[in-house]
Amino acid sequence: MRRVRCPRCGRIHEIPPNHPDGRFFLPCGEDHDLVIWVDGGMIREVDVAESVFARVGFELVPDKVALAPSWIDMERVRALLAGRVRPTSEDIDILMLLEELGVVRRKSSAR
Amino acid sequence: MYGLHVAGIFRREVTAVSLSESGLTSSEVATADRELRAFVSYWAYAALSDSGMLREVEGNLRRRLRRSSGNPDLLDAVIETLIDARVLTQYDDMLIFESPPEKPTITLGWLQRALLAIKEEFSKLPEILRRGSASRPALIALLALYDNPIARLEASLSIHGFGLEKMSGTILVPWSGMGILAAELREKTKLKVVTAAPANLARIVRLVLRTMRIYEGASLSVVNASLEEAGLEALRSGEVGEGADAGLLANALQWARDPRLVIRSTIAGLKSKAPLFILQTIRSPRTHPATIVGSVLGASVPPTRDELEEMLSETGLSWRYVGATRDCVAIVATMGGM
Repeated sequence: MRRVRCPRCGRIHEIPPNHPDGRFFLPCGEDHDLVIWVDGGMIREVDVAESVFARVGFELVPDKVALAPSWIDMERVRALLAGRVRPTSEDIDILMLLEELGVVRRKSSAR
Repeated sequence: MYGLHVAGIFRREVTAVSLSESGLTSSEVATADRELRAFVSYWAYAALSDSGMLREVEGNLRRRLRRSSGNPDLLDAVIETLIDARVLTQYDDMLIFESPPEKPTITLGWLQRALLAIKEEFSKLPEILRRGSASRPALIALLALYDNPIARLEASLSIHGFGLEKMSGTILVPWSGMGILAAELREKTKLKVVTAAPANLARIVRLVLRTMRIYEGASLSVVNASLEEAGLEALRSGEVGEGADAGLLANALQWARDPRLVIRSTIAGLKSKAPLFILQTIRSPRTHPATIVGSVLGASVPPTRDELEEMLSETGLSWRYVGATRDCVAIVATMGGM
């Protein structure tokens, strides 16, 4: 495991050694996430970004829920949207996919 | 849904393993085929009726309709499906309306879910028949076409039928059905999978794979390229080194603007004499409903067996059948002798 310290709040996060290259989100505090750049297996950059969840809320589109991809745990998605669990970077990917598919939408766009 | 027509193409043991892996039984595949046929007849009829196109068809000559259609092969598939469902009859060349089809009952939960996502796309059918194309399909419908046991059956049959589970090296897969085929190959083989998707779909394919916890790296890469460019782009980007050890086109050709170019480009992305495995549903009365579903989601009508053979010969490939039915063929092709 490699360790990353949040430049804003000092929390320490562990990154698995086999994490794929690229940029990914890591939820940190209530109001911020980390944007981590892994390249060639090394952590190149750690930035702080305003939390997606703090800035925009998501909600399920009721008539599309039944069409969500079969491998996605919709109970966890419901818990995420209700704020009962903290999102991981995998959860952010899931929400991005569900938004692309129209299964979730940003609350502001529903009005 | 083309997977409905591939089950009998390989040896009995391969079919049994593939059915088991995809959680299906032979009778369930037969039920799905029957229910899909009823669904397509009904919604094709509804789309033509709602758009006023049914009035143009009724009492008209089929050859005249073909001449004015932007997609005459699809028009044939629709007319033959409606004749089969006794919505239309044909007297000489004239089409006569008989009666509306009954509303379909779908008993299989997974089929119901997939068709629910696809149903809305049927409203595009008249536009495709008239102009030859329509607006881009909804992503959720395109994913539903592959996120179901039939698409997984097609993937399993490709893997076990061609013996990919015993191979090593790199496989080039120019069309992975929204990533589902790539995911199955990663799970069931030791091969490095290099797949491709056009720029507008590649981001979604990557998201699909990441949400399945399958990450790009040493054993998987997704190249931004159309089907026609996939082989050359995989080579140019270095993802297949000096060429992949095998290529797989599993019901891919109908998603291309130019299937000949797909075959040429895929071969170009392979090592010399590396096998190109082709599992392809062909145009036949039984495959028309799957063709209509594919067409409303942006696919073309699949080739006939003769057309496919001609394509392979034109590209200078040596090839042989591993299996063939009236509705599907399995082929191994190579450049320069078998």
